[in-house]
Order: sequence, then C-alpha cells, then structure tokens
Amino acid sequence: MMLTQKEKKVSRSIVLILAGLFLVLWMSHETLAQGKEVFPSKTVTIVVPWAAGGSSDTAARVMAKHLSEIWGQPVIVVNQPGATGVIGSLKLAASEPDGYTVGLLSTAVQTTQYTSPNPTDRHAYTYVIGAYFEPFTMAVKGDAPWKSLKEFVEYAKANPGKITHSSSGAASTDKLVAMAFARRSGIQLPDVPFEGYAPAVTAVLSGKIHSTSATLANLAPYLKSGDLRVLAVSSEKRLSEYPNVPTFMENGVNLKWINWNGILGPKGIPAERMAAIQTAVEKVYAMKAWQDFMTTSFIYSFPLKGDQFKTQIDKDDPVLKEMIEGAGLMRAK
Amino acid sequence: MDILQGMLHGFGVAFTPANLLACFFGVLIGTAVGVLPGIGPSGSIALLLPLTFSMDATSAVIMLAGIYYGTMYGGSTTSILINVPGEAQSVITCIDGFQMASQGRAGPALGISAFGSFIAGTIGVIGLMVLAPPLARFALEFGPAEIFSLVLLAFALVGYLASGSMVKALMMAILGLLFASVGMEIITAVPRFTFGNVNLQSGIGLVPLIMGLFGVSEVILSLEETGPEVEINAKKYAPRFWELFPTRKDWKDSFWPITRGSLIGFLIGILPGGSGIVASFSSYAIEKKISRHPEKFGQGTIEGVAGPESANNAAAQGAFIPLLTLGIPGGSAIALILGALRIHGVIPGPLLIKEHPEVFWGVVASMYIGNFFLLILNLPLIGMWVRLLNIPKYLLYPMIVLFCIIGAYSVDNNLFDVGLLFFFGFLGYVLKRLNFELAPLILGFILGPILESSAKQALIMSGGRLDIFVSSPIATVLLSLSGLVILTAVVSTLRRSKAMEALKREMEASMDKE
Repeated sequence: MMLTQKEKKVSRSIVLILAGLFLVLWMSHETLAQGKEVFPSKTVTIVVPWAAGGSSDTAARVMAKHLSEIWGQPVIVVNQPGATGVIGSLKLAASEPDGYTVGLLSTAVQTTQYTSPNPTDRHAYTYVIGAYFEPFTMAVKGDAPWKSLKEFVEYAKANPGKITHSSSGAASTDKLVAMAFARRSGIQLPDVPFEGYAPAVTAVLSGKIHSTSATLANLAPYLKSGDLRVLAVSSEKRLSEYPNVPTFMENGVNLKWINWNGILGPKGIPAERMAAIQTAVEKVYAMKAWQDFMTTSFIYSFPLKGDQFKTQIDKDDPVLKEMIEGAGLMRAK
Repeated sequence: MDILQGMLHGFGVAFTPANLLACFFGVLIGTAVGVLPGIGPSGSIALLLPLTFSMDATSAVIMLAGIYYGTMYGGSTTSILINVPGEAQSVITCIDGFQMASQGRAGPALGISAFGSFIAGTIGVIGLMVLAPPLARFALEFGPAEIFSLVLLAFALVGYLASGSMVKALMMAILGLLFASVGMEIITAVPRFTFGNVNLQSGIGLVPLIMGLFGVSEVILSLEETGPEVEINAKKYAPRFWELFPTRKDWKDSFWPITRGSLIGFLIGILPGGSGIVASFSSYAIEKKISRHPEKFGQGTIEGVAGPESANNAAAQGAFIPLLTLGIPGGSAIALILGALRIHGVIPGPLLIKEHPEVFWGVVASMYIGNFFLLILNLPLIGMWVRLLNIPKYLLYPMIVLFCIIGAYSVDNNLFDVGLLFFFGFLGYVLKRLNFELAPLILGFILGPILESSAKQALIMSGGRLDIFVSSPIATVLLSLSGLVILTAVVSTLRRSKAMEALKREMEASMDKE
C-alpha cells in the first residue's frame, strides 16, 4: 500500500503524539511510584453489611458525605445486607486491598466467627480506624415497678419465669449481653427474639414483654418521653447524657460489652493509604457536624486505630466467645 | 396544638416553593418507579437518600414519602396491561386487571385504580391527621398473640383467592410456605434449607420471587407465541378519549370496594408487619367473599381492581402512623425514611409532634397535595400507557426482563438474587403452563414466616401455655373470626359436593334412559 505525501505527514504526527502521550503517562507513573500519589484519585466505596436505613447505614452515609467533601472524590455507601452481616463482611474481606473499598463493620463480625454456619474471620481485615461505640442496656417500661437493677433482679428471683425479655434476633449481640446478665445475676430471663430492634422495643412499649437490652439509640426517644426507663448500661463508665444510670459493673454484675463500629478494609491495605484514610476520617471526627450527629444518635467516640484497634479486638475476643458459649449459641459442629 | 391549627401550620409549611417542588419530584419518581416492574420503593429511596442531605428534614421526608406512596399509584399499570406487577402490592391486580385489558377495557381498569388510589390516599391522610395518636396506641396492642390470630384469619381467606381448583390453590400456598422456610429459624438461628450457601441464610427475597414468578415467567410464556402477535401486539388500541375512563356502571360497582379497601388497607397499614401486599390480598378476598357474583372474579370484574388498588394506597398512608407518632418503622421503605430523619438530627418518637410540629404537620399536609399531583399526573398518562400495548413484544419484553434484573439486584446489591429471579422465572412458567394460580403462593410466602414467628414468640412469652391466644379481646375475636371463615368454607364445600353428586346421578340417570 502506497501512502501519499500528505498521509505520511499525518501518520508521522500521530506517532509523535502517541510517543508524547506515553512519555507523559510514564512520567506520571514515575511520580506515583515516588510516593507523591494522590489518594484517593477515584470513587471510594464504603460497604455496609446491613440494610439501608439502620444505624450503621446512617452513620456511614453521614461519614461518606463529609469524606467526599474532604477528598473531592465521590464516596458512596453500598449496602450488602444478609446473614447477620456475614455476606457484606465476607465480600469486604475478599475485595481488592487498594484502600478504595472499605467497610463500616461492627462487633457482629466477631460474633459471626462463632455463630454463623458460614463463619467470618476477624484476622482477615485491616483495622483502619474505629468509628463509634453503642452501649447496650437493661430497659423496662416507664411505669414498671422496678426503679433499679437490684429491684429487677430481686423480683425476677422471687418470681421465676414471670419476666420475659425481648432481643433483636436469635444470635444478636444484645441477646448475648442480656443472657450474660441473667447468668451472672442468677435469674431466669426467657428471651423472645424479634427481627430487629424496632419490634423488640415495641414489645416492651406495649407492656407485653418486660425488658429489653437494645442499644441506647433505639431507646432514647422513649426515655425522653418517659415511656421507657433504663436500669443499667453495659459500657465501662456512666454516660454523659444519663449520669444517673449506673453501669452493670457498679451493680456488682461483672459485665461490660459494647457494640463497636469501625472502618475495616481487606487485609493488606498499603500503609500510606491507610494513613490517608485515618487522617481524613479524623478530620471528620473533629467536625461539629459529626459531633452533633453523635449526640443526636446516642453513639460514642471509639478512637482506636491501626494495630491498637486490632489488639483491643483480639484482647476482648475471649470474653465474647465465653458469652456465646454461655448462651448456647456456638454453631453446631 | 389542635388539628385545625396543626393543618393550617402544615399547609403553610407544605406550600413553600421548595416543599412543593420536593413533593412533586417525589411523586413523579414514585409513579415512574411504580410503573417499572421490579424496581421498588426501597431501592429508589435508598438511591435518592444522598439527594436529601442538602434539604431540611421536612423537605427530605416530604420527597421520600412522595416516592413511597407514589409507587402505589403506578404499581397497577403493568399488572393491568401485561400481567406483570409493577410492585409486590399489585400482584393481585393482575388477576382481574389483565382480564379487563384483554377485553379491551384497559382504560377503565387504569382509571378506576387511579381514582381508587386517590380516594384511598385521601381517606388515609385524613385518618392519619385525625386518628394518628389513638391509632398508634391501638397498634401497640398487637403483640405476637394478636398478630398470630390476624394472620390466621388472613390465611383462612386463602380459599377465596382461588378461582380454579381449590386443591391446586392449597398446594401453591404450601409451596409458598416451603420457600418461606428457607433461611435462619427466628428463635434458634438454625439454618434451614440453605445447603451451606451464605446467600440463603437470610431467606429468599420477596422481589426476586415475585418478579421471577410474575415477570420473567410471562416473558418466557410469550416465547411460545408465533405468528403476527409476535410482531405487533394483537390488540391494536386506538381508544377514544372517553373510553379511557370508568363508566357510570363501573363507578357504581366500585364505590363500595373502594370504600372497604380504603378502610381495610388503612387498618392493616398501621399494624406492625402489615404491608400493602397483605392489604391488597385481604381486600380482594373480602370483595370476592361478599360479592353477589363471586364467579365473575378472575374474569375481569372491576371490583377486583378497585378494592385492592385502594387498599394498598391506604396502607401506604397508614404505615406513617407508627413512624410519625411512635418512631416505629413498619417496613424497609419506612425504615429508610426513619434513617433520613435521623441523618437530619430529628429522632422520631412519641415526642415528634410536640418537638417538631413542622415535620409532622408539614408531611401530612404534603400528602394531600401529593395525592392531587398524583391524580393529575396519572389521568393524562392513562392514554399513553394504553398505547404501550402497541409496542412490539420483541421490544417491550426484553425491557421487562432488564428491569426485573435491575430490581432484583438492587435490593441487596447481590448477584445471587438475579440467579434466584431466573429460577423463579422458570418455575413460574412451568406452574402457569400447568394451570396453577400463583396468588396463593405469594400469600403463603408472606404470611407463613409471620405466622410461625408470632406463634413461637407468643408461646415463649406464656411459658408454653396456649391460653395466650385467647388472653386479649383482640386475639379472641380474630381467632373466632378465622374459625368462622374456615367453618363456612367447609360447609359450603360439602354442600356443593353434595349438589354435584346429585347432578351427577341425574345425568347418569338421563344417560341410562338414552
């Protein structure tokens, strides 16, 4: 095939342009390799292993909004619910560890190590940074006769089988806390599992069930209106909003367990990207908008990050395992 | 604040340009989501949630609520036109709606469902406004024992859903129960029929099941057709304007079904776990039960469209009562609206009306406006929808499959659900070819788990004593009603089979003579 003079000129300039483009690409790659990379340079995904509308989802969306403002890149929340969070958690563990996919996981990823027929593995993640914790409770109806945990325990001992408890699910963490409370204070507390916190709390509001251990956020509007009363919280210390509500420990019940939520990624996220995420998330935590959100949502700061975060989780794991064994919820072998 | 003052305040809030726009945008999206088969309100609300970040709490809820009740309007469109429900709530509308369309009466069917939806929506909003606090307390009375009795009553009505063989209808109801039993058992968390697959642990989703059985199966059925219908839909519609609207007789036939449907739907919508789909099934069964010509149901009678379509709209309004007065979400879409309020720092609970009157009254007032918008939007669209039937099937049906796939995937962002969609598509095809009715399957699938969990929950509460099911007046009345329904069904079946035997003997005798 013969080329005309003009065509030759055109093809030569095309070659030149392509060569130039390659040069630019190569140079930019070099700068990337030299650690001057801009992270993130594309959309970041936050996996939430729960349905949209729940408390984890709400927090993830508020965080995503602020992160995308900080980064100037879209940050999207993808809900992958099912199997008590196992589906989303397993998918997160299997995703590419490039920092562009992280998840807002919780205590559930620890619980399902022991309860789920398709177990999770807490060692399969990079623990980037903690987000917040939610305390569990022991709550009764506002007009119930028990003013303190002691009175509740005394009544339950004197009237075995009279008191019923509601939980958010058969293998839920609030149930584990309630069952540990019952064992350690020597009372019978038959548990009625519902599907989620809303129906569990409703059952106590209606007076058909006597107590629940839902997280504080699920009780807060009813505490304010006087429809419910909280007898104890499961955190280590009393909570600023409820200085009069004692902890289980103060009541002589050796029980402290909270629902932690944190940003986790698949194992092997490069250190500098992890640091970039930590820095951005800490900026969000310092914002007034985030602090206001924490106040209205009754969630509390959980500032551990990196190795510190992972070490704490590992340290607490035997406590959780004991609670699961005690409640008879270890998965069948 | 009394109701009148509250409403004045509410309209003041709802009539600001920003809120009017939010309301219009919400119902517009809602209509579109309703019409598209497979894509449901939860998925679209989740998708549009970030859009509300820049709004205030009231506008956000006005828009999201508009999407929610807007879908109830559009859901019937494809049920009537192509026998594929736009939403789960409109499954039952397929039965008589599609028959009406086949008889060339698609217009009146669409018209009555738009007017019925409007009337029911308005009744629902009035109920929400006047009765919200007392009704919310009433809903609290429904504990596991009461829910069990109510669901048992709904189950007793299953026989009335069958227009063909009763045995086949019951078989389908049981198949529905079987599908519902897949997943973790609620009390012990023991997996059932999951075959070790993590995707089955939470059970089979409603959207892949319904869209497979009704959507994909219909497309597979159409593959059997040959000849000119494949090119252009057989029923070439060029209806005159007035033919699009219900006739005076239609109105007369529909008046009571719409009224009853609105009331039933509203009451079921308030209850925990009560949904538009239970409301529409109940309305259909009750209309058929009390009709003077039950044999016409399934043949394209307008009551079979008017009742259920009103019921699901009223249920959509009723569902806001527990949310706005107690902070309790009834279903996944309502839970999303609760999430939106939380993001804006408004925590719904017993004090919402007192602390945030602008949210409560603003949203209620916007629902009046939204219902008007929906009627104005939907009436002119009827003519356009009817012409949808003129689209060649080879263009229309692949689009339906596409929307079903998007819908099934978008619920949980899980590809496994798309696989389930096709499984149920083929199953639906086989069942339809064997002349099984699918409505009882859906009823079994939805009610079965509620029946099981409420029975178990009630029995744990009572320490195993059965008298908990008659411990409250509500439970006792509902339980007796279901007993009555079953008894009348058995008696009438026995009578009919006796009459049949007599007829058979007579025929044999006359044949002997010959």
